[in-house]
Amino acid sequence: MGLALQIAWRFLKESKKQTILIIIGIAVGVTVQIFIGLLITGLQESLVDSTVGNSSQITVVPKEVGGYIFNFEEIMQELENNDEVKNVSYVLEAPSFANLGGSQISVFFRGFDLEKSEGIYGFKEKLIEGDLPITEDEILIGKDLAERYGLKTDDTFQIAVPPIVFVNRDLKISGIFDLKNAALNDSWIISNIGAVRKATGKAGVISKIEMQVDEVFNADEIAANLNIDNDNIIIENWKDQNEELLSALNGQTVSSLLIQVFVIASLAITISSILAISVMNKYRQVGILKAMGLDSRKSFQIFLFQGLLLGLVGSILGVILGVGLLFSFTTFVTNPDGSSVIPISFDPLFLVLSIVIATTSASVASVIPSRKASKLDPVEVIKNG
Amino acid sequence: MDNEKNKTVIKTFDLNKVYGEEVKTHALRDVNIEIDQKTFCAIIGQSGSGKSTLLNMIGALDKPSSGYIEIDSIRTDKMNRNELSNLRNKKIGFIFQFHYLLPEFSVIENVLMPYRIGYKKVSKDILNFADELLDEVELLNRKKDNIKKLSGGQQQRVAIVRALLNKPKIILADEPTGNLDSRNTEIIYKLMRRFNNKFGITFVIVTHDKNIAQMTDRIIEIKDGKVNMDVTVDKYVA
Repeated sequence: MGLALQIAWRFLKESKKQTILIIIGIAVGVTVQIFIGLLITGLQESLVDSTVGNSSQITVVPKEVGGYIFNFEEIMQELENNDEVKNVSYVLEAPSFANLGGSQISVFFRGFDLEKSEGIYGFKEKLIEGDLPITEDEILIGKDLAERYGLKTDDTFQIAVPPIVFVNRDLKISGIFDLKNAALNDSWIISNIGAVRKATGKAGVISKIEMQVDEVFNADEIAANLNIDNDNIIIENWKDQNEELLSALNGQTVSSLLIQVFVIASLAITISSILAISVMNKYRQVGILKAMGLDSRKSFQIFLFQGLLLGLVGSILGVILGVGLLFSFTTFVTNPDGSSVIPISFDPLFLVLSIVIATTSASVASVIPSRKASKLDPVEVIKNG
Repeated sequence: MDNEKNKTVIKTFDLNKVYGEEVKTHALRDVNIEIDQKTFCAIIGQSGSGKSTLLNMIGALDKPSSGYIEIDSIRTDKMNRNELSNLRNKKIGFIFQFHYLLPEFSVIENVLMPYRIGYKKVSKDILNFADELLDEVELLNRKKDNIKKLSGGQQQRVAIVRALLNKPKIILADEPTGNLDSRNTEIIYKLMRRFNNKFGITFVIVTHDKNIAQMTDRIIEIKDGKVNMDVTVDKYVA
C-alpha cells in the first residue's frame, strides 16, 4: 500500500497542472454542494425557528373544547421528569373583552407561570418597554395594541371575561411586548396566572400545558411516547398542526439533496474521465512497473489512491471555500438593521460528511481507470516504446 | 566449469508465437534453446526476426502460442499473473533500449523500485548495495538527482543498476546500447560483463550490432522465427 500510495503521489506531483485543475474542479463542486446544503439547512432552521421556536411544540389540551385540565400538577411533574421535553409550563387563558377607546375590544387573556414560560416565550427579551407583571393587577400588552390605543406603561384599563359581563377592576400595564407577530401583538394580554384566575374565578385548573423539545422534528414521536394517564386530555404537536409547512420543508430538502447529488455525480464523472486520461499518460510508467513485477492489485491501487488523494484534497479545499463563501454571504448580504438575511448554522457533521462523500465518489470514480491500469499488459509498452 | 555454471536457468521447449487471427504471422517457430547460469550471450538477428519476441517470452512478459519455458527449472506457463510478476521481480532483471526509468523519481528511487515492489521495506544492507552499485557505475554522487537530469548513457547505467538490485539470476537486455554512442556503448558493455563475472548473473543480450555480439561468449542467431545458429563466439562467423 505504501509503494502504491507513494507512486500515486508522485504521479500527481509530477503532473502539477493537471492535478491542480482536478483539485480546483472538485473544490468548486464541493463548494457549491456545501453552499447549497448549508444555505437550505439554514433557511429551514430559520423558518422552523421563527414558526415554532417561540411557541409550544407539544401541547396538552383538554378533550372538551374550551374546557380545563384538572390535577395538572401531577401531569406537570411527570413531564418535568421527562428528558425528551423541556421548558414545560402551563397557561390559563380566557377569551375576553378589553374596555378600550370607549368600546369592547376582543382580546385573549393569558395567564402564565411567568418563570416557567420564560423558556418558551422569552417574554423578558421581548419587552420593548416596562417590566414583567408582579401583582395580579398587572398585565403586559402587545406593541400593536399599545400603538392602536396610544397606551403606555402604567396606563390602566378594564377587562371583561364572559360570562361575567364586566369586572370592575383596573389592570395596570407593567410592560409592552413585541412578539414579532402583529396578530399576537394586537390580541394577547399577558399576566401571571393569578390575574387570570381572579378574572375568571377558575381556581386549581389550567387551560393548557405547553412544552418544547430538543429535536423539533421529532416532536410527533416524542408526543406519541408521552404516557399521561388522563382520559380527559389530548396531546397535540406542532408537526400535526403545520402540515403545509412541513411538506414545503420536505420539498425543499429533497430538491436540495437532488442538487447536491447531481453536483457530486457530475464531479465523479469528471474525475473518472480525467483519471482515464491520466492512466493513458502514465501508460508507459505502469507498464515499466509491471515489467519489474508490480502486480495487478498494486497497479489498481495507484490510480485508486490518486482518486482518493484528489478527492480528499479537493473536498477539504471545497469545504473551506464553501464555508468562506457562506461567511461572506452572511456578512455582506444583510437586512437593513445589519442582521444576516439567512442565519447560517455550520453543522460540522455535514461538512465532514461532504468530505467523506466527495472523497468516496472520487475513489469510486477512479475504479474504471484503475482497472484499466491493472489490466495493462507490460509487453504492449515494451513493444511500442 | 563448475556445477553452478552448468545449471540451466533458461530452457525453451518448442516455442511458437503466432500473431493475428485472420492473417497469421509466425514470429517464432519451434525454438528450443538452453542457457546456463553465468552465461553471457547474445541473441542476434534482423529486425523483425523474432529476437525481441523471444526475449519478452523468456522474461515472462509475453506468452507463447505453444510450447513453454522453464526459468530456473520452473515452468512459467503454469504460473498465474501474480506468480509471473513475482518471477519477473525476483529472478529477472530487465534492461531496455530506452532505459525505461520512471521520470517521477530520483536515481536512487528508481534503483530501489524493484526491491520495493518485491520486498516492501528497504533494509540498510540494500541501501548499501545500491550505493555500491551506483559507485561502480560512477553515479553515486548523482543518486539524489532526478532521472531527467542525466544523460542517455548515465540513464542506461542507472537502468543496469536497477536490473541488478534484486540480485536476479538472469538479466535480459533488449538493445541496451541501441540508443547510445560508441563510447557509452563500450562503457555499458564493460559494466554488464563486470557484473556477469562478479555476481554470476546470466546475461541475455538482444542486439543487431554484430560487434557487440562478438564480445559475448555465445551467439544465438534468430532468422524468420527460427534458431538459425547457436554457437560459442569463437566459432561465430559473421
